[in-house]
Amino acid sequence: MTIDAMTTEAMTTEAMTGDAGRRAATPDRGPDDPAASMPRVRPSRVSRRTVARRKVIRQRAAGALLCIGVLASQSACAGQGNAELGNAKAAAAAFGKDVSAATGDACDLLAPQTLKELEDSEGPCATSLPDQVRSDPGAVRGGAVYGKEAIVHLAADTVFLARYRDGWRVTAAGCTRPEAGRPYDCKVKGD
Amino acid sequence: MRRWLRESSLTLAFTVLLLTALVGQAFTGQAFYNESAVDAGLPTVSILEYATSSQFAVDVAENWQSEYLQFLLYILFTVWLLQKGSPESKPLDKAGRESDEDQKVGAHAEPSSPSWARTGGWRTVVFSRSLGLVMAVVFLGSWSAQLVAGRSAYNEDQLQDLQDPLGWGGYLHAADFWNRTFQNWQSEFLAVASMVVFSIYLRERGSPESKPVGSSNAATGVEG
Repeated sequence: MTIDAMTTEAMTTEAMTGDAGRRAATPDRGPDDPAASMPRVRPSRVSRRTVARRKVIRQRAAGALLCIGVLASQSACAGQGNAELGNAKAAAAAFGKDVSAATGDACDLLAPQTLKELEDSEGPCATSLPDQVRSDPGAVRGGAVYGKEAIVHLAADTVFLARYRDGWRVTAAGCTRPEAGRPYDCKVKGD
Repeated sequence: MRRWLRESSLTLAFTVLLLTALVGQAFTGQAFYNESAVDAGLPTVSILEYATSSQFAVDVAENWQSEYLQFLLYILFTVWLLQKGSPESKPLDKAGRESDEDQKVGAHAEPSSPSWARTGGWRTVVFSRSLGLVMAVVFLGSWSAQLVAGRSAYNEDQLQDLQDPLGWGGYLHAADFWNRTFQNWQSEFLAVASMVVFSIYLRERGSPESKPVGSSNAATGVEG
């Protein structure tokens, strides 16, 4: 039974609970009336408050259904990570400054896989990083964050980052602009 | 309460299945995401982070939009299109919106009819199309959610692969968006077509989705 039918039934029953309603609900039956042998059922009492409450529930259910698409969109927008863009830019800028000024700090900002790849191919990070990545690549020009990944464009470099539990780490640096549709060519990167 | 449970058992059963499947999708999706992340030496995510990520959102939205498109087209097509022998079709002489008397609107409404079926005017017009309208709204909403979440998830993969992210126009033309769309659409249309044809020749006793067991294969628009 639909909610509409239940509500209509409840309102009809409610209308029958006055004197006229009681007479209509419990008519006198003769001994030959087949209904006389059937058990009597008391009409249910449904208050106006219950009817109103059911109407609100119906409206909220319809609204919730319509909000499904909006809620899914909002979760996706949250994943886009506008709130994290500032942190990613700050990490990229700090990395660029530290490459020559504080190479150890720059090495600490490398993602584990990237650090391992650099040291396996070029030797200790503290000595090899300045050879691979341009020191002081300039101010941040722009960037974007999607999920746990970020790209930050500096004046003279492009840096890719990933967000770990303890903050943003550089996954690739020393990247030059690719041909359209191709990956960046990066001097420092993970596997 | 017991009566309500019995009379709403169909909705309740599918709601429980939906929630169970969503939870299962979240946990298995998180496991798959983290497998790839570990392989690439990238950070893993918690279940809460995954359930609020664009990867999860697009995987849910792409399925939902195709389901609601399926229902939208099914609801609309069955107004005018026919299939002899199928209980999914109206009787062969009933194509179209049918008369007010058949549809119990306006003066032909019954005491138990919804009020907007009785009132006439724009209310009756809107109510007469409310099922298709709501399906269309939810379809467009969830397809939009697929677009938004899909672009975010796709661009996260792009950045992992050291490639530039795509803008809105670029993603609307991207194979990823249309591949997700078409792979879901084909399965929905296959399901409906199968149901329409199978129900001509096969039976499921007691189900309103089937003809009565003893019905002729040529009987159209009858339910068991």
